Amino acid sequence: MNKTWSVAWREFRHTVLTKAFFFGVIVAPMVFLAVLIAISVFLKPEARPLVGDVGVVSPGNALQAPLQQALKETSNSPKIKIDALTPSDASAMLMEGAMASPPNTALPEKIDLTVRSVKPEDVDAVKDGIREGTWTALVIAEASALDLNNDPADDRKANRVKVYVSPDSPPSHTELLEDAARTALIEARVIQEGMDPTIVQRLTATPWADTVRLIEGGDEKTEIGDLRRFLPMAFMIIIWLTTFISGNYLLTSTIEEKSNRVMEVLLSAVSPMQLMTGKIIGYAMVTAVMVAMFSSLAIAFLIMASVLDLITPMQIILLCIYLVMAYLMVAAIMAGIGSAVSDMRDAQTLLGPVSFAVMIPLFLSPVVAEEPNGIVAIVTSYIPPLTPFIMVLRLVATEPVPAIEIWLSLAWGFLCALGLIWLASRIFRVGVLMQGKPPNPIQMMKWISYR
Amino acid sequence: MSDLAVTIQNVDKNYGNVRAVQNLDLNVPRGALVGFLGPNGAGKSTTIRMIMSIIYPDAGTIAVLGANALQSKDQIGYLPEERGLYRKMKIAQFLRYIARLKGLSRKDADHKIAWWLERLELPDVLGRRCEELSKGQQQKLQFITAVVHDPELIILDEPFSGLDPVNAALLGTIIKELNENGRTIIFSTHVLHQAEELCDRVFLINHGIKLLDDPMDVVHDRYNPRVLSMELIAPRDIEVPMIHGVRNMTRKGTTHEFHLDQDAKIQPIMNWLTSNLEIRSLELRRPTLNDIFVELVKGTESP
Repeated sequence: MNKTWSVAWREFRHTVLTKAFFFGVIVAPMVFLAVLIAISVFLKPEARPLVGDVGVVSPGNALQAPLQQALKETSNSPKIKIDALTPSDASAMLMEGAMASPPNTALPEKIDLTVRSVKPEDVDAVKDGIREGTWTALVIAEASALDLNNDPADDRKANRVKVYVSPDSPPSHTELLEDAARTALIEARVIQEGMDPTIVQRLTATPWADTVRLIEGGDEKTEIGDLRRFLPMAFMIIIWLTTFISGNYLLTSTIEEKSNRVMEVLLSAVSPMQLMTGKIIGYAMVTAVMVAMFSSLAIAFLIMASVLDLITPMQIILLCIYLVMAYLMVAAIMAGIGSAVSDMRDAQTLLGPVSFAVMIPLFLSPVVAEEPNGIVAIVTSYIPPLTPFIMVLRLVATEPVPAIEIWLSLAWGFLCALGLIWLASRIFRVGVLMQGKPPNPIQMMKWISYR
Repeated sequence: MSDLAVTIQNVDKNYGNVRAVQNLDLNVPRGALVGFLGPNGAGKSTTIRMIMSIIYPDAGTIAVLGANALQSKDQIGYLPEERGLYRKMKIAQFLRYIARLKGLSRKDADHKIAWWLERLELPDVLGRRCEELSKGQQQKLQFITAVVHDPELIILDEPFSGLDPVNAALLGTIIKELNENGRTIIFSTHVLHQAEELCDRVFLINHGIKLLDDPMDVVHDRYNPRVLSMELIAPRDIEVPMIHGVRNMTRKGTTHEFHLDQDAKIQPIMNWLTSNLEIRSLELRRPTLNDIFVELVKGTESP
């Protein structure tokens, strides 16, 4: 065991305690996250003031007043300051889906626009004025824009308004003007029909719907739709990423030892099984470091959003168990492939089908999240190496997985993991001493049966 | 405790259709210094790997130090033919890692590493990376990994390859010292004169079949001198049929070599030469290990 531990410690030490790992796996994601936060908090784009005259051409001058009103409302709308958000504010925003559609651009600090009616014959002069900077924008609504008929094809043509802006108008200005013009056109139509736009707006405001799931034991739980869908995927990706990064380290380390010809030196001191086991344990520790880092970020996010109760302690324990299962399966595959080839180029050939197989959970995640106990989810839960990834998706999804299925998948999954490790060890003990052309699957099968 | 360090009995090893080792028997006495000879592809490395339990025989048994090699691994030092280092690793870390794998404590490892570096004339390299060493220095480093744990049995696969004559001589001296200190040493080599100088026993295989397994003196006795080397004072043509018992002759300047028939009587031939020719020197030359190697290997090659 001492020798196995020595191998494990070397693999861990020479992976984790390196600048490449520190910067690539720990610092880089942290810096990336910090930069994202910093950009959103400190580097909000500074939009230029939006001031001046906006011309409007519309039938019966119906758009002038609504447009002026819409622009006024925009300038009076409260601005969200992310740095001033409390966790409960953030949680509330999540609940309301506000985070799902954040504004793409910043609002101009100052909006002071005067809407002026323009005659159709003066349109060219106003356009010239926009180019020269004496006018800010021109909004033109055709006569048919206010007079919609029931033909959808015609609707598509008529249901539009044109906004002319200067060559250097930033996206924040054009988006704001487009929104205001659209709102104004709707209001003009409402007024044309003799109704009060304020009342109509209030009546047609999209209501929020809270989904309350009735869970076992008589409790109720209000769901957060987007987050609920996002969570299984997030945990699956953490497990997927960390196991594959570690598996890749294991693969490259084995290939490096083969290509450096140090393998036989090692095998003079340890058995192939001890060497492979040491490597698997070493990179398991690497996985643990990465999982700890990524999970702490995920849990910090859940705490910040006051939605930590979305996952239970039992789910966390099961996630850890499935992580071990996933790692053992991936590590066995990588150890087998790494021992069979002499360089990374050859490894890519063998990794092709494996990569495709392990991408399947990513493709299946929408189906499994939608129907965690559906036939696709159940069947793929028992196909190694998909088992742990699919089970993680199912565990954190809405519908509880029957306990019997959890036990069955654990038993079957670990049995398959041990089977894969056995197969890998049979290939490993022959493959690590082979050089040159990589074996085909038939040759690898023969290696398994060698004495 | 058995007197034998290695016992190989009826061992077969095949790679697919290739018979790497066939029905091999070999006994290496404890304390022996054995040269393991054979042409390329003869099955030497396969046999050594089986002795090390890196691979396993298809049939037959192998005992190393009274057990199998897995159980005796810490008592065996092995320098493989395929040498390698972790190129980016510091030399101290590399040697310490291998020493720890061989069962040494950290303190013992550091002490022995320092001693061996000094002995192999590799001072002040501990802080350097393996890739910074020359090929010869790397070779010495790898030798240290084979002996750092003071093993009872040392197996060296081509230990002299890549070494300049000075370092080859240094390594030869160390191998001899280790043997004199009671270590059993098996080494394979193509440098036959070094094997001849160092070994007290030789073992020769070709196509996985044993051709020779004897102490060095027995080998020399068995392969009687069959070559007379003669240097004339002045150049002169000699016809082979003139001398009874000479199979053929080669000439280089004033030096002639007479290859004798198996049943030829040597003394009459020497008498004839000394009485009929003006001779500067005449020597009944012992066959070198190289001669024996070539003769035996050629005898097993298909025409």
